This record gives sequence, structure tokens and C-alpha cells, in this order.
Amino acid sequence: MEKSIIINKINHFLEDEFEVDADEIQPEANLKETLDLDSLDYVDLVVSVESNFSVKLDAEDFVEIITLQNFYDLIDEKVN
Amino acid sequence: MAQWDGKSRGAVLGYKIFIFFIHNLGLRSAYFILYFVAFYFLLFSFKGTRANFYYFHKRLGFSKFKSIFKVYRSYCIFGQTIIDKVAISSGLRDKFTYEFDGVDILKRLLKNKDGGILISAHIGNFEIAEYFFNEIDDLSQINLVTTDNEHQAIKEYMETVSSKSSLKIILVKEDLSHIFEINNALQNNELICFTGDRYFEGNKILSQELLGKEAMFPAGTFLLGSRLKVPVAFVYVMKETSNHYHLYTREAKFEARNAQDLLKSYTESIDWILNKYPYQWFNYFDFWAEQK
Repeated sequence: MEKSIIINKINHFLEDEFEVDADEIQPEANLKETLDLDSLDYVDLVVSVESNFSVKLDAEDFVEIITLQNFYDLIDEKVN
Repeated sequence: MAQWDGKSRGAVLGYKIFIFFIHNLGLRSAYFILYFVAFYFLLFSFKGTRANFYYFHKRLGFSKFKSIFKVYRSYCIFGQTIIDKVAISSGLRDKFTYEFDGVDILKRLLKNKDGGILISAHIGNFEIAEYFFNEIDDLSQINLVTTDNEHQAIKEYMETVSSKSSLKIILVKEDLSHIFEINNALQNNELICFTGDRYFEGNKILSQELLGKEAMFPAGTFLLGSRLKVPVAFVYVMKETSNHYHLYTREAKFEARNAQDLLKSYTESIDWILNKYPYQWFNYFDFWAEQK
């Protein structure tokens, strides 16, 4: 899957599932702050990723995820 | 701010004394000691007493005089639920009877294998629920999400005298590993049980009226319950007499993807259960943030 398609798909479910404004979704934006995630919200994020991309995420995957770009890269790596 | 400070009170010696009395002199003797312990807490646990006095006086509308006695009685019943928990988990389950109102809902959730979310509260004695789930075939399908805030020494001591839990415990940890345990359980179509009435610093919160006054609740449980396409139910285990418990399960009715609506359904359910069991509200902290 092309990375641009992955990014569009991620942005789409972030807007839809997490009610984030489209203009807040910037590659350099902080993932946790932009999505206003607390610990249980990560379950939603993991469920959304798994249902959209059929990939499995682990706790270690999130260790180095700070920005949305890091998140796009992670999913791209998992998918491809 | 109206949040729990994350620690429950108690000391190992206290637990040891109660277990000695329960096993050697019976439950009634342990209950008898409670009258003194509850009096001590009434006088010296200032924050807890003030919080519960507010609950009875301002939220339930009892007079100041009556509320003092009700706080004392609440401490006694709270102590009894702890003694019951210790007694039941250390092998005295047969001393207690129960009835289960809504067991069909829980059975259906488990039978359908679609997963589900159970939301309870610090009301009654939910921690002993598993010992009354005789009618439930597969307890391993139920996961209890909890924080690891019990004093370590008490926990170690209790592990030496208690039987091992049949429920799966998911501990909320800094490393987010609980997220993946919750996700795995949901993928296996198991039930996840949360308490919905306490939050910690850093948690997202939602506000909703409870007993006629706005209060804060942890948003995570209600966001998750409203977004995931799984059924949600409220569960309570309430003490009725010295040796009889009443379990309740109620299906939550709410608009999909509307966490506030799920929270409203929850607080209405809590209102209902507290009207039936006013002494079993065990959140001894500034819940409504209005007590000063």
C-alpha cells in the first residue's frame, strides 16, 4: 500500500473516530496532544489501526512515537 | 480537585487481627470490633468523614444530626464488606448467600461471544463478585481492569491467605501494556470490567450530574464503551444482610459514539442503586468538589 494512501486513511479515521479538526492533523504535531489521548484512548487507536490496516501493534511500537509523522512511519512499516 | 489520591487506608496488622478473629471467633466477632474501628475513623479520618457527611447531608438531604450517624453506619458497613471480602476469599464463601438480578444479561453477553464492557463503581462490594458467579461457566472470559494502588505489604499478606482469583486482572501501567491486554481481550470477545467513578491526575474527564449535582468522571471508560461496537452493562454487588449479597446487572442504554450519553446512563444507574443502598457509597473523598 502506498504511503500516501496510508496517511490519508489514518487522517480520515483520526478525524472521524477522534473528532480531530483536519487542520490540526499535521505531520509534526504531537500525537498524544493532538488526539488528547489518555491511557484508555490508546485502546481506540490500536483498535482503529487494526481494523483499518489488519496489522497488530505492540506496546514497544509506541515507545518512540511522538509525532504524527512517527505514527505514519510506524503504520507504513507494519503494512509494507 | 475532586479526584482520588490513589491510596486506600489500612495496615497489615489490622488485616491480621481481623483474619484471626474471622477464623477463630467467627464473622460476628470481627463485625463487633468494627464498631470501635468505625468510631475511630469517624473521629480521626477527617477527610473521609467530611466527604461522607457531605454525601448524606447535601446530596441525600438528611439533617446534620442524622448524617453524623449515617456516616458512622457507612463506615461500619464498609468495614463489613472488607471483612466479608477477606472471609470469602480465604475460604468462607459458604457462610454467605446471594441472589443475582440480571444474571441473564451477563450470561447472554458471554454466550454471544461478541465481547462487552462492564462498568461498576466503588459502591457495595464488587471485588467479591467472582465468588458469586457460580452460574457463570467461564470466568476466564472476564477481565478486571484495575490500578495497582493497594499497599504492597497488605497485598503480599492477602495473597498468602486468599485463593487465587479466577478473573483475569489487567493492571493499568505507565508502559501502556494494559492497552494491548485490553485490546487482546476484546479481540477474543471477552468482557472487560472497569470502575467508572474514580479518576487520577492526567486523566481526561467528563462532567455529569450525580444525585442532583455535577461531578467529574474518568472519560476513558465512557469513550471506550461508546465507541467500540460492543454491549455495555452496569454491575453492582450490594450487601443486604450480614451474610447475604444482591448482585445486579443492568444493560446500558445510550446513543452509539456518545460518551456523555453513556455517562448519563451510568449516573442514572448509580442514582438508582444509591437510593436503594445509601450506606454503600464508598468514595470517601471530595467527589463533588463542593464540600469546603
